[in-house]
Amino acid sequence: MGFTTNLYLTFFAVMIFSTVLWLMVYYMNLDKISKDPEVKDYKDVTFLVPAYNEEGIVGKTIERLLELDYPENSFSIIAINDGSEDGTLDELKKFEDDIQIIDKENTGKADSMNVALESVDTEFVASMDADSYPTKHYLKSVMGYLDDEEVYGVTPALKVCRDDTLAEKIQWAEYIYQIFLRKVFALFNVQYVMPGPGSVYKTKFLKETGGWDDSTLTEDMEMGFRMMSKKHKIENSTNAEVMTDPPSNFRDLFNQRTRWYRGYVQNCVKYKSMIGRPSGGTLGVFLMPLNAVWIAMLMFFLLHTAYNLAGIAQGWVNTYLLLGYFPLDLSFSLQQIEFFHIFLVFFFSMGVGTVFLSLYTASEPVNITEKKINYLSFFIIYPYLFAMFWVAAFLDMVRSDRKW
Amino acid sequence: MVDKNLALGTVVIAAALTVVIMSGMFYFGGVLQDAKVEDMSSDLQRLEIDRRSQEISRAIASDMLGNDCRVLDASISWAVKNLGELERKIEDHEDTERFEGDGFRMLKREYTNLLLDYWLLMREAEKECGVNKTRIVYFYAYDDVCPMCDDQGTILTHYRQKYVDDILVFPLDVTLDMDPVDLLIDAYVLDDEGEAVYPTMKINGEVYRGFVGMEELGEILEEEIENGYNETEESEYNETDGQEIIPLS
Repeated sequence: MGFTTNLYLTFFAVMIFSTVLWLMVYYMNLDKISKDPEVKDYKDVTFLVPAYNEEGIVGKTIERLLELDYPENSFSIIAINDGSEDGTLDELKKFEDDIQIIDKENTGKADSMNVALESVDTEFVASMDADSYPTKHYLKSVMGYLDDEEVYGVTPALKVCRDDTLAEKIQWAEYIYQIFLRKVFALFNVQYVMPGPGSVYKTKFLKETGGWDDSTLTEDMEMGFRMMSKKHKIENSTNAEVMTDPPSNFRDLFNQRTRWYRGYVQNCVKYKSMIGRPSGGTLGVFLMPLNAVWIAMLMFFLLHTAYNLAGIAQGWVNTYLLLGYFPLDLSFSLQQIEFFHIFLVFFFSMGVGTVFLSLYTASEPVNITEKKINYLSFFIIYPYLFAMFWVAAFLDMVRSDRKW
Repeated sequence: MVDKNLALGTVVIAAALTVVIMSGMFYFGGVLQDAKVEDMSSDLQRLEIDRRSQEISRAIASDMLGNDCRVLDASISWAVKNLGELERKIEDHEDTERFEGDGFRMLKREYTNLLLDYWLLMREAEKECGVNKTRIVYFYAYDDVCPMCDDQGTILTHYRQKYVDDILVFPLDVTLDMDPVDLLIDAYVLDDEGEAVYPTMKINGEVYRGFVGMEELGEILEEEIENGYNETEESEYNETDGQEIIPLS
């Protein structure tokens, strides 16, 4: 066996291990997947809605928050206009009787939230990105978890609000898969992101630890790492749906993801003391090293695939130069099937199974006919796209020191 | 929420299941490999049975008619049509082979024996019955030994398809470590300094060491097919100390 074959086999083992582990965690906790704890008393929550040039959607976000199925006097909204250059402030002013508005110069999302946090006097605070909006039962699904004193944060089930373009279709499937993954991460106590749309926190924790970190590229991820480093629990509700506005084209998606992945590395460096140490909990001992292997693996797959494709292309050119034409050979024999194809079939089956499980978890109908492009692009394009974003993020880190 | 001990337990069980699944994959990989070799083995067995039948037919024809040329001609035509299919399977198998297996290597050696057997038969058919087909003995190896063999193979495949009824190619893997192949290497592949040159082709009586391009090979084959092979153009044996060692044609 050559080095490359051994490397592939090692990576296949890691992929199988990860899949088996998450499926086991899922099945061991079947009773907790879709069932949220009931809300015993309606605790007070303040929503922080930071907005920068979101005139097109922020009105809908505020409207949906005001329509939440939760006692009116138990939640309030603070919208922060972060120096927008469009009509965001005018949109917010339409709701000035129902919400508090902070109008400030542009200083970034984290700082805007921190400014608003100073005015929060409720036990819990929720972030809601201005380009995202919750479904009616979202808050009730989330708040029951916070009766447990050990729980410091709860994350929602994020879905994209439209899937018209190819980039959106891929994200549609990705977000559905993330609902599954976020839940098993929460059950395994390794959830390290508190997404901007819809995560709920203990206000005391935020205030005591200095609020959101405006020096990181991904303040929501930093908050997750911070909670994990202090051994606090982060729960997840698969019923607390929040719809978010996804990047519509690949260029915007590329920018978003390279920022996220650079942010992940930034946080790993910041919390490097967690890695491999019992004090780092399951996240530090297990998931951070596993993620490192996954990232390395995906980048290798991408680069090796590119190398192989270049080899195939070179072979075609070479054949053309030799013969003056491309010999078309569509024959098939048993001899063309190889050992790795067994893994391919296995991973495809596992992938399809996991997607079905994710759809079930996200309470989404399967709808293969209507969503066929979403599924196909998720299986065929997404893995390469994901790896490409990671490569780009690393190159970006090497090349520059770009800020959000 | 999974507590620390439960997390460790879950990880250990997942690792154990991974070992089981990977073992299953290797098992199925072995089954697949066996099935592939078995598929080629049955092809080879069929070819060998046919070869044996041809020999018996020859013996019967010689005995009854005093001449076996018709059977020889039929045998050569049969070989032209049927040997290529197994060769193609062997090529496909080599392209997808991740683990070297003894089974496949043995099969390839057996196949090489069959090829050489037909090569000798063809020589006999030409001498005794004037059966006129162009035969190419092609000495090849993998990339590390012969970087140009891939290209030479592509060109040869093109001409084999073009002159499907007139050409018989005998591809010999020089890394197989077989006595008859080594004898032929000594006779044809070594240059004046005694260095092996790959690829090498022996087209009828002529030896071509090194890569032969599309156009050049086309001209050679056209001429060979047009003129036919003339046995008298070369001596039948190389003699050393009076001992016959290498058949040259």
